[in-house]
Amino acid sequence: MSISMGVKLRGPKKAKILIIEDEPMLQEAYRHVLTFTGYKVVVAGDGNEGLELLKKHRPKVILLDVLMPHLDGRDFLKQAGIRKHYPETRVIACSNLSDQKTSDFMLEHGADRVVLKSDLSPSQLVELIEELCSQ
Amino acid sequence: MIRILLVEDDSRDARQVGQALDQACDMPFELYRSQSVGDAVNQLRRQDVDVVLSDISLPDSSASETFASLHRAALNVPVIFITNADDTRLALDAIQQGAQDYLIKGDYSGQFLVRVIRYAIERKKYQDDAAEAQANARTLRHQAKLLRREQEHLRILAKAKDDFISLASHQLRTPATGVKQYIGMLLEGFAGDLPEHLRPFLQMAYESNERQLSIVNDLLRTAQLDAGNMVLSRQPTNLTSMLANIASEQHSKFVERHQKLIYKPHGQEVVLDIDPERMRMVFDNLIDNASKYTPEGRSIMVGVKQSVQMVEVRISDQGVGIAPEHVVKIFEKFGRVANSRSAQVGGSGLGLYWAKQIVDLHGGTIDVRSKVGEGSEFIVRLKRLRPAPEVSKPQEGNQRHEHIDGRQIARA
Repeated sequence: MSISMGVKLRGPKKAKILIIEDEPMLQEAYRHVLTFTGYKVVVAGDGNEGLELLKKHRPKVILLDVLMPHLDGRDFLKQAGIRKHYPETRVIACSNLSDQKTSDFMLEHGADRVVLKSDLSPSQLVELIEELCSQ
Repeated sequence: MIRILLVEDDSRDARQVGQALDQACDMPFELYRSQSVGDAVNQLRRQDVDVVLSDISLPDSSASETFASLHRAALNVPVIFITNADDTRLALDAIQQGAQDYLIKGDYSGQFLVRVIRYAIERKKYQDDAAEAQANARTLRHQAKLLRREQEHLRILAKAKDDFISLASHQLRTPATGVKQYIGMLLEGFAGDLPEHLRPFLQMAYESNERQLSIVNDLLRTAQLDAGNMVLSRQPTNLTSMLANIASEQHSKFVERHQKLIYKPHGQEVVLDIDPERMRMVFDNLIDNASKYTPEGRSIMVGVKQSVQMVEVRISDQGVGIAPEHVVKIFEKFGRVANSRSAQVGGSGLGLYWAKQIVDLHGGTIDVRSKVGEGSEFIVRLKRLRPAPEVSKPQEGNQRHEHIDGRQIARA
């Protein structure tokens, strides 16, 4: 895949994004890219922390890892009751697992999108989040 | 002809049996005689008989052992005892052990004897059949149990394999995702301005990482196919536009390589009942391969033909071609063929393997014709499960057809 050059920096975004990701290297990458683009970003290292930050910040979009220690993405979705309690929040489930069962589960339990992490370049991630913010 | 072995030490009693049988005369028979159980056992080992008539107490055998000895010698032969009137208890014991019947000496007619013999033979046959059926049923139950155990074992192994595949793909993708994110940030301007002289180097690193990711994807797909995990989700899919989309997605690659992709769709829209995602991978791979193995400046042709039962997609290139001895290998796992372009092309050697698996799963075929130095042609044939939508929305169909038919998707 060839990569598009340069990202269009738009005006600062007000939307708040919650990143729930246990891998520090990716946490930092997502945080940097989204902050750079103008989003307000909060970061959780697992599902439990994610639940707390979800309550506190009511983000517009959650970037949710699936495999995590303590409380994983699946259980996070079950416990959060996104569609019921946070109808305004959009969830991108992103994992490097690519099995149909996990995707189906995430979509059934409140994820709006399921993406393979390794498929998204930074600008594609931003595009996806912009799209969900506008919904 | 009923063959009867009479075990009787008393000649007078033996004669009586012979006379009774002669009297009945509606049953042809051969009568052999033994005077002791030992003699009878030898006789039974030498010769097949249909029934044994035996006194119950004989010089070399007590009443309680006679039946067991005779039965051991010929398991399938029915045994009828002829006893003295005061020995009936012994005869009843023998029946409990498996003897068929008993008669009282001097108290039977020829007719009665014949009937007892015939019944004994039939009953014994029935009993043996029943016993055999029971034994078979036991064996089957046992085998079913073994199979269930084996199945469970295979299920556990398959699950272990699945888990391993999931974990391995996850673990392999994660670091490559990191590389993609950080180099992507530099290339896409998320880290400020990139000094232009660095861009080509980072671009190389990025693309190399992309290739690694695509190999991991190929491996994973292959493992899923091998594990029989792949379930097709078929739906009516417009093949015409799928191919057009692939062509336009790969457009930039063709431009880069100064190649021309010529797409000749069938005059009419082709709608098939296929798994769109999987089949798209197949055509994506075949078209990409055609381009990779074709030198700059040449053309790749994608054509669709439709008959009553089949749809045929041909992807032809003007590439390096495949030698006949290698053609058989290319659909095998890791079946890459070394040629003048394979080193540049890279790849996992799995693309055509899973292409074939996917086409096979659809009940279709994939073939190749090739000539070294002239090019290759891959032919995918898929079944049409529904009749061509001949009259549905003719206007829309015509418009689309004019739009797509014969258009050249990419030009150098």
